[in-house]
Amino acid sequence: MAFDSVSEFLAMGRHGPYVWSSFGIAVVCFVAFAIEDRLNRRRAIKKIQQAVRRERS
Amino acid sequence: MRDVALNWNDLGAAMRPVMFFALVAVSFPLGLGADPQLLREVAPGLVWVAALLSVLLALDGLFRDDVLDGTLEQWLLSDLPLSLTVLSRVTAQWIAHVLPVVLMGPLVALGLGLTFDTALILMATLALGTPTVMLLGSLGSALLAPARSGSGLLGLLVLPLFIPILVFGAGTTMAYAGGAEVSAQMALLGAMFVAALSLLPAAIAAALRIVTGG
Amino acid sequence: MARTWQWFHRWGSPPHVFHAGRQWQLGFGVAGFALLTLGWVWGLAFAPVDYQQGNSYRIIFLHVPVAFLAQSLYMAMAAAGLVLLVWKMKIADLVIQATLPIGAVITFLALVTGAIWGKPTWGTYWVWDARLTSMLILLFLYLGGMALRPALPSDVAGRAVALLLVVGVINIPIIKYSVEWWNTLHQGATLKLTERPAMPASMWVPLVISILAMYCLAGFWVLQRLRTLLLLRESKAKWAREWVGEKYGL
Repeated sequence: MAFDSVSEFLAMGRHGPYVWSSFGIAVVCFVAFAIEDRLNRRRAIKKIQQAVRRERS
Repeated sequence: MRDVALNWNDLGAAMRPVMFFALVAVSFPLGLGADPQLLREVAPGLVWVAALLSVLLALDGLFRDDVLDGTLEQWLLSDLPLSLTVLSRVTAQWIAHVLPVVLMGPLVALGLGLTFDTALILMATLALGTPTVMLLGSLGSALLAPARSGSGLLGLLVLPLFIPILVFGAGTTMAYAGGAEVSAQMALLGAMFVAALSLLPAAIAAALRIVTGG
Repeated sequence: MARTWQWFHRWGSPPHVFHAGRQWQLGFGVAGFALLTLGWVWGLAFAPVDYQQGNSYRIIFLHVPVAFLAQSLYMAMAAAGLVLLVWKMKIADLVIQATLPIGAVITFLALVTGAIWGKPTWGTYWVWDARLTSMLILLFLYLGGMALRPALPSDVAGRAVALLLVVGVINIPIIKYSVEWWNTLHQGATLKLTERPAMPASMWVPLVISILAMYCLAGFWVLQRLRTLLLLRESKAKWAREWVGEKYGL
């Protein structure tokens, strides 16, 4: 380990805010990708379901 | 040739880019303050940016009317290759709308405190650079021909493509003002012009075909 | 020759891309997240401290992968654009639509992490150095690609965007070269981000792993979006309805 303790790891020798905000923003973006796809996927499925139901009736 | 005549007839519209250029060029000293040292240093970049914005003005809606009123169909039907027709259209627009800006540029530069020979170099970079910029921008105009006019979309599309010419145009002038030897950079600007002239008309023609579904 | 043509055509068919793509998507996803965890844990916790920059250099394990990815995704889109324009494979248009927002966000991430990294390193969030400026222009190229589509009628929009991307990709090296030259003109203080001494293995190995991870993740995200777009577009198609019926009931 390059750090002697967890608190040192989080602090990153004064550079903590920079390092963690960068990675944090990245993680937020990755989560956003997942959420966006989940929403779109649901919309697509619903669209097909509704279309089929409409055609049956 | 008919295009040049048409453009000169519509003198009002042709004056717009040059008036815009003059306005922008005057606004900057007013905004920045009259410090002669500062003005002299920013002059090349300032003139170049103003010129680019004026070219954008000249480009807006360049092909829109041609697409709307059926001129494009006639071009497609005629014997001339479309790229040639496109080239003459763009050239005519450049002569009518941008050439005045190129001629006025050094005057503005002198007003901002550049020396006479630096202003000449600036004009040379504008003369080589604005046609290239015009051709690049016409590609954007062609792609946007079916779209509504006046949106800033054209700027967003083509300004990234303008950056190299801006950098070399203004940068070369500044380097010259600093005493450097700039024949290499001028040659580069010339090379870009030649490349644009030979490659872009075909691309613009392709763009016109694409957006009219042909 | 015929075999390659067959392969090419198979990947042009939406149901094939949808069904076969699922396994690739899963593969890229698993590999990507696994490698990312490995690379980042290694880089953040185990790699040694940099004697010049302290611990802030660890942003490199995020910044470099996304910066590389931003450029590669644009080139991939331009390639898809060529496929659309030359071979007229419609799936290429959906590939472009799937990739554009991912690439734009990745480019944005590269810019933001570059700026955050700059603060402890040079004392300022933004410098007009060659790489950051080129990355900013790249972001505008992405945004332009995204903005063009809604402005045009939908039957021509795909090919127009493709042409724009191809022209853009040709310009990228020119833009980079010009920005580098411009930078040498204006080099006041020496603000060189990357003139670092060679990295020890304990640093570049996690870096390479992180880069690989990001590329795998890109494959995962693009395939994911692409398959969803296929479902949206082909709502009338039999294969789509069968799939929805099996999985979700009609």
